[in-house]
Amino acid sequence: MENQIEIKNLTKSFGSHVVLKDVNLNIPSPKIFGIIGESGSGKTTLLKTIIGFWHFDNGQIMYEGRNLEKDRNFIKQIVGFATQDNCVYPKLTVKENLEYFGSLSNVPSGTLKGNIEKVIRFVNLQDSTNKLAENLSGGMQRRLDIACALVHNPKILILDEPTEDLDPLLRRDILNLIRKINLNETTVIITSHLLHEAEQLCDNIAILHQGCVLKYGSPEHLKDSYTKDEEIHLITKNKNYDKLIKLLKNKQKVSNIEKLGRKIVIYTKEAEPILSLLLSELKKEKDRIIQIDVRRPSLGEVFENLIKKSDGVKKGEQASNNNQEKL
Amino acid sequence: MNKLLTIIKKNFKILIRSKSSALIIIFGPLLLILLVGTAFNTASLYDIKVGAYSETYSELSESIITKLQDEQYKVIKTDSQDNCINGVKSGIYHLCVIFPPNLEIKEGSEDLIEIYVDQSRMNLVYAIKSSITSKVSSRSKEISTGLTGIIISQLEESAKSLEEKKATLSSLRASTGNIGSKINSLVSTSKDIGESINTTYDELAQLEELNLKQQNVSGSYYKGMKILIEALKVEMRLFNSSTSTISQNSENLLTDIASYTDNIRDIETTTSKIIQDVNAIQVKDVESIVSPIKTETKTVTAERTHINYLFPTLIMIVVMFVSLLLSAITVIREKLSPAYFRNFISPTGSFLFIFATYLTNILIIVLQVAIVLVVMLFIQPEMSNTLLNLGAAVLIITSVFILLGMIVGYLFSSEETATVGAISLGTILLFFSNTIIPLETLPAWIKQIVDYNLFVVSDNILRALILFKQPLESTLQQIYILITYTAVFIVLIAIIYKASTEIYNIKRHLKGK
Repeated sequence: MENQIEIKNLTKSFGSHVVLKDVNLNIPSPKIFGIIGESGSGKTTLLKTIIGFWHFDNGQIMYEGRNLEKDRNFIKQIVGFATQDNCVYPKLTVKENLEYFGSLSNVPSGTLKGNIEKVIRFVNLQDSTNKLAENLSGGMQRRLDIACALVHNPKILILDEPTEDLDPLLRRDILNLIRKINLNETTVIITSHLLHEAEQLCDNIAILHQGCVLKYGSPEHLKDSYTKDEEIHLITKNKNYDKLIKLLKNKQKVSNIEKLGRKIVIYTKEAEPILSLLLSELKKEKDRIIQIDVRRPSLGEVFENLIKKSDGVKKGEQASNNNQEKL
Repeated sequence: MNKLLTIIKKNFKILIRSKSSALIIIFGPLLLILLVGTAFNTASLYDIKVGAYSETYSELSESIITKLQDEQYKVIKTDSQDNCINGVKSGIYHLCVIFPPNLEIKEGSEDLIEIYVDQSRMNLVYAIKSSITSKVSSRSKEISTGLTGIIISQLEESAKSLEEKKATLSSLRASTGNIGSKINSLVSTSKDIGESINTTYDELAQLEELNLKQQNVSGSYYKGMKILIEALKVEMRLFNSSTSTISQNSENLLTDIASYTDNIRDIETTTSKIIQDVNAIQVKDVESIVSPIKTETKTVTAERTHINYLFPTLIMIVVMFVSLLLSAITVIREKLSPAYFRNFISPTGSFLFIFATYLTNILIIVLQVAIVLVVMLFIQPEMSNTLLNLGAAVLIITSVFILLGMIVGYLFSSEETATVGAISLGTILLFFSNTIIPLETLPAWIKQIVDYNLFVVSDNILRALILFKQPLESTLQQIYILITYTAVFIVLIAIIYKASTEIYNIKRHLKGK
């Protein structure tokens, strides 16, 4: 798997405020790469820096082996960018916006017409070609914005929180669109703070916290790095979980058991034998299963855990620094 | 009430915390008033340049020039009449005074001092005309007083001479009386002589009668004869005495007459001198004495209506405000547009965006000006000759103002402040031009700065082309100033664009957009 973008030791600050600290990332082609993080973690700054909008203080950004600092225009040519603000001219029609941004991206006029028709169909705006952008609905405006980012047929599409402020149906549409774009061999980089959405969509994810990449890799890899256990989430009719806990406590394959409100969660390295044990025990007790799930830990849990760890390390470092200062 | 105060407080805080808004909205008008108030707090005209020409400067023309020259007026002698008049057209001189060769006050002189003014500078021309005319009138009054003085002193001199000769005349009158009595005495003596002669004739007749009777008369005859002879002797003596008297009187008369002749000669000499002196007065023409220096005011433009004179300024006002506002708003709208970011990340250089903004604005304004010029052509078809020059000038002028407006747009961060900024800038440029109050009312040092005011420079170019039908070459100096401005503005835009975009993007970033 070839790395389309390589980011090495990237640091960016605004005045004294360091927004990105020593960021290292490899983004493979053609995948959907997600950057997740809390608000203010530096996601948008990272995206704007890797497209050359912000000059960075230190580090290196390479696109297909070319240095961003030296080949800025080439890189602008192969990258499309859509923000959460819908960067289009409200007083221009859908077609006019696409024509304008296509021309700015040096698309030859002969090719441009075909590209416009293609992206309009692609984002499903055929019926609104001659409508002013300001008269489009929120979802349509977002699709137009993505269309503008795609009109020059970029190899890499960067989307900054593309589903932000959209209702669930529109959000689903946009996610489907992103998948469709990726199917056309376009690398997609998205940011989101909706972890579930990122987990569903992305091949690779980087977790960004306070300007630092805590971890990155495939969702499975991230979860594995957190824990290799599977989770059995069980709700029974009688909710008499103490017997079950007692039964499973000493089993080798069970790492942990938690009682969480109406349910119990059993963490195990192998779910199948534990499941059969549970079923037989419930039968014996004449209890009934209301709900049972076998799942890996969610990205949210991984994210939460990593952030806690990072904050803990920082607090520890801070305390140690304070102690050293006191000494 | 409390809510109202809270809202007002909030509004003030928002205004003041946005530095550019506060600067423009609150302090801008104050600064404007301060500037204008300081500059125009005067009632005089300063640094009026007067062009002067004469083929041969006489003492009188030099004296008028000296009279004109003071701290307000600066008189510059030109090489030719055309240079002088063209100087007014091109704004080098405020007016041009043409003196006739060897100007002097003389009998029946038709010499006129011609004063050429630029009638199109309506707010200045009347003040200058009146000021210059009053200075020339003052010299004229001096000359008039001099001429009248000569006449009056001549009259006084004559009166004095006549007074002196009055005694001689009285003595002549008295002497004439003496001559009369002497002549009367002569007449009386002559009558006596006549009577004596008559008596003598009678006695001779008697003697002749006695002679006829002598043959028969003896003693009585002799006696009678003797009486007659005696009587004749008496008469002869009387006659002799009268003749002596006449002779004496005649000699006296001759002496008197000789004396009178001297007196009359004296009077004649005095009279001749008076006549000579009166003849010596060079100017006796009443018109020349009352108004010795005649001036005539001429305009360097053909006589037109006020709107004709205002036309270049009107074009300038339209061009300036439209250019400043349009370009500032175009830039700020683009900056505030959500699409601004996409432009920025496209593989298109900043220069192209700046240049496109400039071209967009110039196309709109040139189109507007073209409409105005077409209308003007219908009113003044003779303008067609200068249309090309005018087009070129308008293009340069518009470019400078558009670039200035773009700077305003790049400097400010909201449409409101950019608009107020552009209007304020335009107002300052307009205030410090000849449109409202003549610049000549400004103190010299301020005027020197204001002479480089974009509006003033541009207005001068348009006036030269439209009103005086000058070729574009005659405005080269002003055009070079505009070209320098253009170059400076381009550099400024490049710097401000980079800096303001960076700052603006950081602001947006910090706002989370």
